[in-house]
Amino acid sequence: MTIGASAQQVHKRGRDRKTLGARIWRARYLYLFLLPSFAFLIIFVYWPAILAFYRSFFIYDGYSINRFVGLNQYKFILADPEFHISLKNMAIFLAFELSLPLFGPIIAAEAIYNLHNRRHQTFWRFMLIVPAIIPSLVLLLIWQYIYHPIGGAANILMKGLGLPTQTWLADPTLVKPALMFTGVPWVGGVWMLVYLAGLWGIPTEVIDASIVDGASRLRRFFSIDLPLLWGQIKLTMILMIIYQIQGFFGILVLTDGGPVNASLVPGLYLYHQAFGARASEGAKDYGKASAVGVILFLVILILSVLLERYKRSDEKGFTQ
Amino acid sequence: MSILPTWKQLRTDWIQYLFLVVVTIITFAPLILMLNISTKNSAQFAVNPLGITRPFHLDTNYGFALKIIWRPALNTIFVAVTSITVSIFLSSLAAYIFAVFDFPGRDILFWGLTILLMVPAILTLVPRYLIIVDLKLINSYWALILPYIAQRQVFNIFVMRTFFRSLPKEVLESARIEGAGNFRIYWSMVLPMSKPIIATLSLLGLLVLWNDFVWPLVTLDNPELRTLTLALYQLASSGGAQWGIMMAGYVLASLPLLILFIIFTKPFIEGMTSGAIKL
Repeated sequence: MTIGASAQQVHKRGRDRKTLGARIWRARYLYLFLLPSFAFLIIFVYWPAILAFYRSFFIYDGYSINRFVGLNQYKFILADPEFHISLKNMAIFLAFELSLPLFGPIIAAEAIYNLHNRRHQTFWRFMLIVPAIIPSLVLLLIWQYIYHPIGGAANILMKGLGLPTQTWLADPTLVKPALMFTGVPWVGGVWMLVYLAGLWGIPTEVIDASIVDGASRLRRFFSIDLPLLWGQIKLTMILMIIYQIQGFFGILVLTDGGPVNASLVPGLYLYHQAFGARASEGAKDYGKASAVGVILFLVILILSVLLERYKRSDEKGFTQ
Repeated sequence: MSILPTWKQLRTDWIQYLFLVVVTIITFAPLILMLNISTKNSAQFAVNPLGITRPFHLDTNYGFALKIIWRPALNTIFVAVTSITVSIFLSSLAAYIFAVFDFPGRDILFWGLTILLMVPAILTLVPRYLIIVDLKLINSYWALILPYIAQRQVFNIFVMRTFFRSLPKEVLESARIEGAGNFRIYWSMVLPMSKPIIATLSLLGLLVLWNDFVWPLVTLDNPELRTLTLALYQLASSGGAQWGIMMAGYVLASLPLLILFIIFTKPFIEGMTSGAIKL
């Protein structure tokens, strides 16, 4: 009853100008109902975000050592060869991510969209989404088996083809391609859905007109579909970049950054400082881990701002 | 429904069908591998890891795997259901307030939510862990539930606010004229109308929480409390474990979401591709 009353009065505020204090008092129940939501956000998102900056100026092991060191953590990390390797690896993974995994879902969506039978469209869409529902850890662990040197499917296949067997994830030159390959065939999942929805959103008159004009399927793809999907493609790119800069879950599970840092990425570098095997030997440093977090945050922020600007300069926005 | 194309369809659409069949075979190959190995005992695996071997050792492998993962599965379900329910409730309330009312500070508060989209999880991982340590919540369900509630808020509020704004104004207005209070309108009109979007957001939340690995890994080491992903990881890294049992465990861990998804395919896809979840 009371929010109803207060809301209606707030509604009328244009007519009888109340003081700010009175308006706040009128809306008191609204604040009360927003409070729980914001309390959770403050404790577990805002506050940790601020704390990350604060901690990054300290050496802090969670127990006895808590010493202010100014910018030394940053100086150390930026000069650490291991961090450089992790950045380089991340760039390689990211470059790959922006090739096949970016375009695969578009091609899959096109394939489904271009089926003439509506029921078949629904069926194949279903078939391609199902893998996205399998827990990602399960898929990784199946690949762990596939790459297992003894009895693993990859080596059985190699033997069958008469090729030398490999150690895959334990081989510094093969580990990166092997990790990338776990996403094969790079088509399914949520992105395909998004593109398909985009394609289905194209007005039929546009398509009909192009058919009347005798445009080939390929021509239509490049001059109608691709420009209309451009918004979704850019969004995918931005999210992929953000994910690749901070992600490390799959690598933690399959290689823990090895062998000899050949698959180390910055997120995993951070994880090692705070929780990793070396950290448990008493070299835990939450300060350094926080500083890595801040560096990655800044990288993501700068890239997002640049991409945002690029997006704006470029025709319409991507929120269609 | 008939999924086999007719000759006419094959003649015009053969490239698409070929592509889809090949891609589907590649996608499902690892899953078929998993199912096949989950029937083998270690002797069968040693002799013939890829072929089909008889007899199937379903009861031993699945029985053993079930014994290992049933408790972690219940833990995950408990944590996920609790945090998703609370999070949906709180964020629907917040979204309703942001969508319907005009009050001092509304735009600033909403801007405060928007900037959270710029805060990557990697920035808050370590400090969030330290806060959980300070609150003495390490090794408890709370270590998962409370941050999960917070984590789901932002996205949920954004999506539901957009959805609430798209609800027909006349219906809400007529309820108001008939004397219904705003909380009543929220509870008995807005929420029931939002069932599809709530279902989609819950399923998305479940997908994320079911998969989460790093956060439970750093906050839990009590075997009683460990989640499904932790149990699977330990099963996989317990040296000398039998592949058959491991694969059976993976199959069991995949089933609940798969079943839910098959039941809710239609509303889920509609929710994902409708205007409410703006991309």
